[in-house]
Amino acid sequence: MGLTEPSDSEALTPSGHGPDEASEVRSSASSTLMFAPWQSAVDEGFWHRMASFKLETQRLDEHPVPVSGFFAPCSHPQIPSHLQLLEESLPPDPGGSSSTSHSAVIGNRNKCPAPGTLYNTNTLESFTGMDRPSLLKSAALQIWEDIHSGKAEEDSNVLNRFLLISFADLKKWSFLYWFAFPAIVLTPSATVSSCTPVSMAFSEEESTGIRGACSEWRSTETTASSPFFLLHFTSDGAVNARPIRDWKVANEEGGKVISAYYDPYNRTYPGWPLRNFLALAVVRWEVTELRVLCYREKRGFLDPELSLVVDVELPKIPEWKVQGFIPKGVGWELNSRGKARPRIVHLAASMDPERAANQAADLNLKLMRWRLLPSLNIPLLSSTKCLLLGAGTLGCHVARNLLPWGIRHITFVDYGKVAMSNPCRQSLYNLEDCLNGGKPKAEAAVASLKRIGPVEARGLCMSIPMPGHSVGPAEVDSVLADCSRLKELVDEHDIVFLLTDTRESRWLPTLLCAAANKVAINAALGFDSFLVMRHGAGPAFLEPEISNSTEDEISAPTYDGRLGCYFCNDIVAPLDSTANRTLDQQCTVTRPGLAPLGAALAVEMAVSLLHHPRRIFAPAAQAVAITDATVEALGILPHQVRGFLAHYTQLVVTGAAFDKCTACSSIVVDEFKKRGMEFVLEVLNRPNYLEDLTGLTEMLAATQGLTLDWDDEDDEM
Amino acid sequence: MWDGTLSAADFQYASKEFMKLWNHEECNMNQWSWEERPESSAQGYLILEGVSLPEIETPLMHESLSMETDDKEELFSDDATLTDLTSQPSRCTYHVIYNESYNVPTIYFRGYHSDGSPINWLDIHMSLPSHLAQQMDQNRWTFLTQEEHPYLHRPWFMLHPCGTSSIMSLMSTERLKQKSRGYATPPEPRKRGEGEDKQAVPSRSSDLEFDTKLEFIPSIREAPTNQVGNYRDQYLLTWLSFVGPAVRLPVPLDLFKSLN
Repeated sequence: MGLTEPSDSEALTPSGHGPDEASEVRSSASSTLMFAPWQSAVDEGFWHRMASFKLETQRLDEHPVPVSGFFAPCSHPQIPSHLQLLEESLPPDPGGSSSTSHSAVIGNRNKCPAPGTLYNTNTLESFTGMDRPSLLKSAALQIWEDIHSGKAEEDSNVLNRFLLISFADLKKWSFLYWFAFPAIVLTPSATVSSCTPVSMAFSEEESTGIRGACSEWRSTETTASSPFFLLHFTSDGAVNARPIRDWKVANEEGGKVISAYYDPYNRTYPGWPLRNFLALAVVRWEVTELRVLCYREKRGFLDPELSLVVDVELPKIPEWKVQGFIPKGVGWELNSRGKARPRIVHLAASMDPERAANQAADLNLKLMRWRLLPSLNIPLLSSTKCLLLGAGTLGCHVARNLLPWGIRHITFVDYGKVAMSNPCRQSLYNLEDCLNGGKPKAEAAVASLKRIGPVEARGLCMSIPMPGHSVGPAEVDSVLADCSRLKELVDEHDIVFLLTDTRESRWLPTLLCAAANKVAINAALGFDSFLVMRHGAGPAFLEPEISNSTEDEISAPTYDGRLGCYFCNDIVAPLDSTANRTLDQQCTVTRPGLAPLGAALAVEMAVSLLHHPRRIFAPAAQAVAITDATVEALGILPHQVRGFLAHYTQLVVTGAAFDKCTACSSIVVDEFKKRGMEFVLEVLNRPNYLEDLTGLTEMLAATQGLTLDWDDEDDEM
Repeated sequence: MWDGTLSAADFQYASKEFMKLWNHEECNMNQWSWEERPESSAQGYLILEGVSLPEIETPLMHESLSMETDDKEELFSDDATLTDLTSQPSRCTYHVIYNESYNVPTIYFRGYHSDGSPINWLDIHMSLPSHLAQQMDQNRWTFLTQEEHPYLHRPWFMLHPCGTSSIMSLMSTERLKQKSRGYATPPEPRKRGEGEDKQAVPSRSSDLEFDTKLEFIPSIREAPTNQVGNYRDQYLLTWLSFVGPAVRLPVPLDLFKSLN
C-alpha cells in the first residue's frame, strides 16, 4: 500500500500486520489491502431511548430489534467519522412525543442509515453468554445473501449491516455493549497496487468532473444517503455519478467506470465499508481489478487531498461459486483500549432522576450563592446531618424548609401515628396516611419527604423519656434503650431540632446536646406567640482558637458569654424582660400561621449558625434597627426570637446560661457524664431529684406547673 | 440604553450572519448548522458538532466488569484489518439556543471521551487551576450548570445566561466609545481584587465587574440605531469570545479581522 501525504506519516507507524516499509511512495509491488475498522459512537440519547424502550415496549423480551446506525463521510482530517447510534436509532416511542423528527432522517446526507440488529439481554449472564461467533457468522451470511440476490445493488446500505449486543443495568444506569461490523473475508486477501490522494490520481479536469459528480450525488435527495456509487467517465469527457446497479450498463456504454463510497476513515487506508463492497465486486461483477475512490469531504465537497484513490487487485475465489458456500466473517469491535472486551458506559449522572433533581435543587442555591451570597457553603449544607425530634406541625415545616437550603440528611424521631386531625396542619401528611389507624409519623414523614425530592431521610418510631413520667420496673430496659438510642442519634448528627409538643420531652435532648456540645435549635409555639432559639455551647467546652478570626465588621452589638438553653431562659431569662413561661403550654392550639413562621425561622437560624465562623460559640447578636444594614451575608445571628402574632411583631432576645439550670448547667452535665443512664433514670423516677441536685425548689414548682394541659395524644411523642 | 438582549427574530438573523462569517472562513474548524425548530420562537438553533478536545484526557475506563472471553482473535481482526488505530480525541457538540426568559443566546454543550463515555464538565471545571476556577466561578458568563436541553429534554451542560445581557450591553458601550471618542464618558466599573490573573477570558473588559451598576454606565440611548444594528450582526461572535474559552470552544481570531 502506498501513501503520498507526508503529513499523514504518523498513520503508518509500523504494525504487526501493516506493510510498514511500503510507506514510501506508491509501491508497485502489491501488498495486502488493509482496512480501518468502523468506530462506534453511541449518543446519550440512544441510551435514554433504550431505557424507556426496554421498560415500556420490550420488557423481558429478548428478541432482536432492528436499529439504525448513522454515518457520514469523513469530513475532518483529524477525526474519522463514526457509526453513530442516536435517539432515533430505535423505533419511536409509540405514545410519547419524540424530540427528534424521524422523517428528517431520510435523505439527510450526513445521516446515511446503516441497518443494524440489537440483541438486548435481560441479565449480565446472558450478555456474556451470547454466542458471538455464530451471531457474526449469520450476519455475514445475510450480507452474503443480499449480495447474491442483487439486493445490495438496489440498496447499498445493507453492506454496512451491523450488530449490537447490550445489557442495560437500569438500576445503576450503566450500559454494557458490544458492536460487530461484519465483513466478509476474502481468502486470499485483496491486494493494493496503488493508493494516492484524488488530487494526484487525476488530472485537474478529471478532478473537477469528479467533484461535480460527487456533489450532485451528495445533494440529490434520492441518492444522498446511498453510500456506494459509481463514477462513469464517459467518452466525451463528462463524469457522472450513477448507482452501483448500473455497473454493467455503464461499462457497456464505454468510457471508464470507477467505484466510490462514503469513507468514514480519515487516514491513508480505506475504511471498513469497502470490504463488503469488494466481496460484491468479486461475486457480482467477477472483476479482478477495481479502482475505488474513498470519498471524504471538506466543507460539504470532495476533499481532493483527504480522499483516496485505491487500485485494488481482487483474488479469484473458486469456492465462492460452490452452492451453499458459507463465507467467513470478521468484525467484532475492540474496546477503546484495543481489547476484545465489551464497552461500558455509566450514565447515572445524567439519567438518574434523583441526581437530576438534586442538581436542579442545587441550581437555585448556586444562583443564590453567586448572586447574593458568595459565602454560601453548599457542600457544608449538603453534608450537615439534621435530627428532628418530633414530626408534628413543626417537624414537617422544618423538614420542608431544610430541603431548599440543600440539606440532604434528615432523621425524624416521633412516637405518634398520623391522625385524622393532622394532615391539614402537618404538611408532610395526607389523608391516606391516617387510614387504618394511621401510619407511624416518622415513617410517613420520610416517605413524603422522599416524594418531594432527593434526600437521605430516615425515621425512628420511638419515645423520648421525660422527667416526671416515672418508669416502672417492667419498662426500665426499654426506656434505657431509648435513652441510649437518643444519645447515639445526637452524637451522629450535627444539628438537633427540638420540635416536640411538650416541655418535658425537650429535657433529655437538651442535656444530651449540652454534654456533646451539639447545636440545638428549639422551636416552641403558643397560641399566638412562638419562641425560636439556639442553645448555647455545653458547659465544659472551650472554644477552639480560631486562627485569623476575621475581625469583620459586625452589624450588631453582641453578648459573648455562654448562652442559655430552653430551660435556663424560660426560668430566669436574665436579659429578657419579656420572658413568657407559658409560651408553649397550649401547644397545638395555635394560630395556623405560627408553625410555618417558627419553623422557617428555626431553619434560617440553623443555616446562619452553620455559616458563622464560631458556630455553636457564636455570640448572640442584639437587635439592629431595620434601617441599618447588616454586614454579615445572612444577617445577624441572634440567640432567641420571640414572635407575637397578635401584634405582628418579633423580638430578638438574649438569655445567658444559668448556672443552676436543670438541663445544661455543669452540675447536671457532670452528673450525667459521671453516672450516665442511671442518672437519667433517677431523674425520670424521682420528681425532686433535679431540684435536689441543683438546689432549685422554685424550679420544680415551675416545671410541674408546666406539665398541665397537654394536648390530645395524637401529637404526643 | 441597549440592554444587551436580542429578540427571537434578531437571534435568528444574528445566527445566519454568524454562520456566514464562521462557515466561510478558511479555518480548520467544523461548520455551524441551523436546526429548524418551527415550534420555537426563534425557529431553530445553531449546532456545531465534532469539535475535538485533545486537551481533555480520557479517564481510565471503569472496568467494573472484568469479562473474560475466549473469543478467537479471528472474530475481531484478520490480515486485512488495520489494528493500530491512532487514539481519538474527545469530541464535543455545542448548541446555541435562544433563551426566551433572558432574551439572549445560551450555549449548551456535551462531550464524549474517546471511549464513548460522557465528559463530566463539572469535574473538569473543578479541576481547573485555582485562579482560573475562581474566575470562572465569579464571572457571570461562565457559570456552569447542568440543565435540561429545551428541545432534546436531556440534561446538557450550559453556561447560565443571566450574565449575558450585561456583558453584551457593556461591550456595546465600550465599542461605541472607541468608535466615537468623547461621545460618552468612560464607564468606571469596579475592579476586582488586585493581582488577579487575567488569562481565562481573552478580552480585557472581562475583568470588569458590573453587577448592578449598569444603569450608571453611559447610555447609548441616543446612539444612532444603526450602530446597535451592527451589534446584532456581531452579537454571537462577540458573545462567543467570552463564553468560548469556558467551554473549550476555540473562536478563530481571524473572524474578528473580518469584522472591521
